[in-house]
Amino acid sequence: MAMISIENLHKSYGSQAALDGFSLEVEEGELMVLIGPSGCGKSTLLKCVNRMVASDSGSIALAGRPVTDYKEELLRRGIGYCIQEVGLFPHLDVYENIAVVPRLLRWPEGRIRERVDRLIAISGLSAGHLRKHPRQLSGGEAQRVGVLRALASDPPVLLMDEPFGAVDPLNRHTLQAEFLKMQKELKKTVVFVTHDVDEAILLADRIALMEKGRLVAVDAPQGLEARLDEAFIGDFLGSEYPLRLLGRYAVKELGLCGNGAEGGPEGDALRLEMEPGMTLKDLLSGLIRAEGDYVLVTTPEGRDIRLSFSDIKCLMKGARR
Amino acid sequence: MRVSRSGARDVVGYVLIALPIVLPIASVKANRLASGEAVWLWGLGWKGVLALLAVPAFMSLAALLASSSRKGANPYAILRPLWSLMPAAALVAVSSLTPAAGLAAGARYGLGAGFWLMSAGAVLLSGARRVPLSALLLLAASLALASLSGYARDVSLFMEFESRKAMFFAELSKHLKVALLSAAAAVLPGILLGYWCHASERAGRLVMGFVNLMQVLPTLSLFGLIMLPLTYVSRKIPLLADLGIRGIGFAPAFIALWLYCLLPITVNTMAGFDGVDQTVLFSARAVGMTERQSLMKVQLPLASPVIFSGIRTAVAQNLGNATIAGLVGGGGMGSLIFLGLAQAAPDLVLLGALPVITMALVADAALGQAERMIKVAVLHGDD
Repeated sequence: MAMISIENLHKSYGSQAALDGFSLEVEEGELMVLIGPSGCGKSTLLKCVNRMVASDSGSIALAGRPVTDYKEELLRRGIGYCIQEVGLFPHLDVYENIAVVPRLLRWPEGRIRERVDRLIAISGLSAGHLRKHPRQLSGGEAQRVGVLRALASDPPVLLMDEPFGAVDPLNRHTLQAEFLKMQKELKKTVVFVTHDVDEAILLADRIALMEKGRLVAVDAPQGLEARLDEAFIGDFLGSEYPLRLLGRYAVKELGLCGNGAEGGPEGDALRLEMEPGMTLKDLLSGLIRAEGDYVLVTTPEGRDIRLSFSDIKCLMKGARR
Repeated sequence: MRVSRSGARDVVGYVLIALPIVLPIASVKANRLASGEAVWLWGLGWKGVLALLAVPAFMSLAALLASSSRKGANPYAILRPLWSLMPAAALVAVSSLTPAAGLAAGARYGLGAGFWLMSAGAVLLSGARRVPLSALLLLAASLALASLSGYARDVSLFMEFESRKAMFFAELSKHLKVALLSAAAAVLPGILLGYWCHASERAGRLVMGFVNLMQVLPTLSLFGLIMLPLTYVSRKIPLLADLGIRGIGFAPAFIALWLYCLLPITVNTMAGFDGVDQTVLFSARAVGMTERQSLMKVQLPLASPVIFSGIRTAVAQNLGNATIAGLVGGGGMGSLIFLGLAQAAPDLVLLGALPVITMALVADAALGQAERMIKVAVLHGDD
């Protein structure tokens, strides 16, 4: 059974339809990225899930139980929610901000402390941040606290509304990486709203593409590549989508195929270091820079591997499978 | 040359304390109603001049030391409140005028423009940006000490005090009682009213219209408006009259002052709640707080510094406003002032007015300090 089932959801603001018969199923432990142009209804959809907004018709169920079965406050305490503006409580320090929901749930203080310590340990923050106040945090730190607050009561479902949208690009990348790492460990069911295609490609298990309150397509990032000829999909994701998709795959995670093996030290060929975060996109960039049609990639073990464009095609073929 | 704000403040202070050079510091009066003959700086003996110069000389020395020492705390900044000893020193200077044989019966010294302006300058100099509470307390203590040790025996203001001591303290206590009780009684209704104004736009407009009307209404006509129904009610219901609720006395003063206190508390409460960040409110709902929890755990704490600032305004303003209670038989320092006006005795007017000013300043300084502490406790910064 799907963790979140949304069926035929409608919501209008006056004569403006924000959601127009939207249906989607999100599996347990899945990271679903909702993407679409601004005004397509993606934020409204999130707010319908935790009932910050009441839908006009249709239904949303969490693990089979309609959200309207719960008392609003109790429902929200069981769903993590972060927004772009973060909205930390300025009069509470970081610890108290994270502890807000567990306290509403009347957890014993010892359990709250344990939980906060564990969350801090898997986040990019340190225990030194706990006694700081929101006004003493940078934008990136505040956003991390926002995510931890959403995770504090260990809710099965996490709703994230452009959480990294207001952070500068360098920090955003760090936050995305940290979040992916956390998600690998926590395996929450996440609905993540963004309008940034690269972010969607990097994070998503599946991407749900929305337009005018409707679901246009839902598929894994590599699955959407095959559907770029369909009208709205190609327009929104852009013709360079396959290029962006390369950013999702780390070179080291893919089995090296083709003639990759043993390039041999050829004096002036471009040499790249295989760092853990090196993606196929970095590899392609190297090939474009290189004078010849291959680059030498040095593996962590110190071997040189010769990779050319046909290797990228081969690796992507593997990724699609 | 650029002068900083505190620099400009200091310049004003220095000019004021130098004014006794050109303005009379005191006057010799044949009796309490006579206008008297001016005494100038050069009319004081060398002892008097010495007493007058003691504080400025000491402070100049401290400033000199401060400018030469580079490390550690600035001694001048620490010693600043000592400027407020100057008025007491000036009283000592005036007392040096008294001839060995004493003044003729009924004769006395009035304090002149030079004295008052110099005192104002000294109080101004006692703090870099605001008058610190310590300076005000030092001022009150030094004046009390000077008068208790007999230095002010021949000063008209203190003679008025001596002859009306019992009345002075009785009225002072009435003044404090009516001002503080009515302000305290306005806190809760003011906060509730302010919250209501915040919650409902229509209520906001209605209540704001009303409290603004209260502010423009001349004080005396407000008393008239209150006295009429009170008189009527107390005639109809003798029990109320027995409880002291009558057209004149404590009740109308209390009600009028209470009404005046509502405005700052209501307006500030409304502003405090209106000022809570929308995102924070949204967050409170999103994490699953009930309306009540959001109000008590988020909105009220965040609004509290602004609300407290309204209470501070109300108390300080009430200590001044309570003077008018004297007009409706409510007592207070106003009784002394209006008696002094009726008798054309300027020093009796001052005897009523000076404590009012002092109380308002002390309350404002003390509550201002508390307000900064609340701000730091709630928001971890006071900007």
